[in-house]
Amino acid sequence: MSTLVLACEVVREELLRIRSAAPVSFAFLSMGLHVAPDRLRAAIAAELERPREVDRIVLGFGLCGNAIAGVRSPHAPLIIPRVHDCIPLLAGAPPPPGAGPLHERGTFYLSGGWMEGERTLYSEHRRSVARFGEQKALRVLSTMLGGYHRFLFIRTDHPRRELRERDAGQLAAWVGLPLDTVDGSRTYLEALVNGPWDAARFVHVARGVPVSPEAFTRTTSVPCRAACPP
Amino acid sequence: MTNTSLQQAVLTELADAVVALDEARAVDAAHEALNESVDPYTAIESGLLVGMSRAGQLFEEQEYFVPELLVASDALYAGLGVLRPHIAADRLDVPGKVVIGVVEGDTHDVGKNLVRIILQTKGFEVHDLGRDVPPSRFVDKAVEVGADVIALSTLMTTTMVNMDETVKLLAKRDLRDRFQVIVGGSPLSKAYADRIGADGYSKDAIGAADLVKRLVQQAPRVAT
Repeated sequence: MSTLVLACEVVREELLRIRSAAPVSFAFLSMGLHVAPDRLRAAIAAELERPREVDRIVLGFGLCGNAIAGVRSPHAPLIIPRVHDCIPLLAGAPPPPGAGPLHERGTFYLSGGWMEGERTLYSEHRRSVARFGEQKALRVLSTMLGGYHRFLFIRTDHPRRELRERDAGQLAAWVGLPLDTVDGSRTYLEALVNGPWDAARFVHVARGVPVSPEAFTRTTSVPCRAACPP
Repeated sequence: MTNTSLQQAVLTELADAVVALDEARAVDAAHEALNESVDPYTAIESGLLVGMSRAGQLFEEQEYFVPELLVASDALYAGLGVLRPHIAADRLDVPGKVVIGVVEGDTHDVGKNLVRIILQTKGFEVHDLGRDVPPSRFVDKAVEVGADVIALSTLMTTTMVNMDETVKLLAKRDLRDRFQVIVGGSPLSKAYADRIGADGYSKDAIGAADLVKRLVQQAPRVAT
């Protein structure tokens, strides 16, 4: 049984470090797409429509601002982590029932991927400095972070983790917010690549069936359907 | 140049200053508008707001991103500060009252703030409740100020449900017919707005202000 993992580049480095006994191929989409769910939806749909010789496609995306709502996979069944965004994937476990991307309200989560990707807080600030000068860019950054009281950097096995953590420290210092760190876990991402794709952690969608956002807001686990692994 | 073409040139300059993200240029253009006897109300509507609308279009086309929109709104505000004191008293009628905020559980307020700024620029009386606002605060504030429209914003799929909760609370308090409810935010759609029984949805800030205007004109506020 072969698997394609179609994922956001935010988890690229972590995913590429996971070994697999079965054939697994990877495709990644730009993080820049996360700011526009309609564009991300179109990009995922276009990838899914490409004919591929795989038995299943596992998405390295969550609901991501409803970007995957309505998406169909015409050639292979889909398996999707039951998460709203990538934070639980990096942290290693699904969020507690009812919890959102901000498990702790006012916490801005970062990771190696979040410091390197397109259209992230860090890359936007650097672009802003070049365009508007340091003073105005800093004011813009502070405005964008108005609702936050701290950063939390999730430590993973990203190869440039230490460097990116230092960048995160600089970002935090610019706006005068504390930076805390937490150790992530590979558990969820390992399951994403190798299974088991249990229904508590993964949504299973048959070939050609549109992804329903309601599946991500259920707080109880659902019975495993035909697409689940034996 | 004729007087009319001079005035048109000033309006274009006001719009261009906002698109160019240039506060100082917007202030200069606003003074120029007053010097050329351009009606300040027209200078705002057909100058500054046209520029903001073009900045919004550039955002849609991914030429501009959130920092650009924030700096464009600085230029808009700067021009507004020069022009607003010169608007004739009879043009200062408040077209309507809006209670706006980010729903409970969410703290992303950049989009909501842009909507507030554009509504204020268009003369609306805006009561901004900020972020992480529980349904009851929206309802209580709308009753207190006699609002026409309650505008709800969120960026997160997990907190969209609190828009539904706010509409339900209005119904529970027998107030649903008294206020128009509009929703916005990147995970939302017209279909979602319809499903929760909202009166309107907009996918961007300029559209939200037009929507409020339309709703208020359609259903003039009843004195309470």
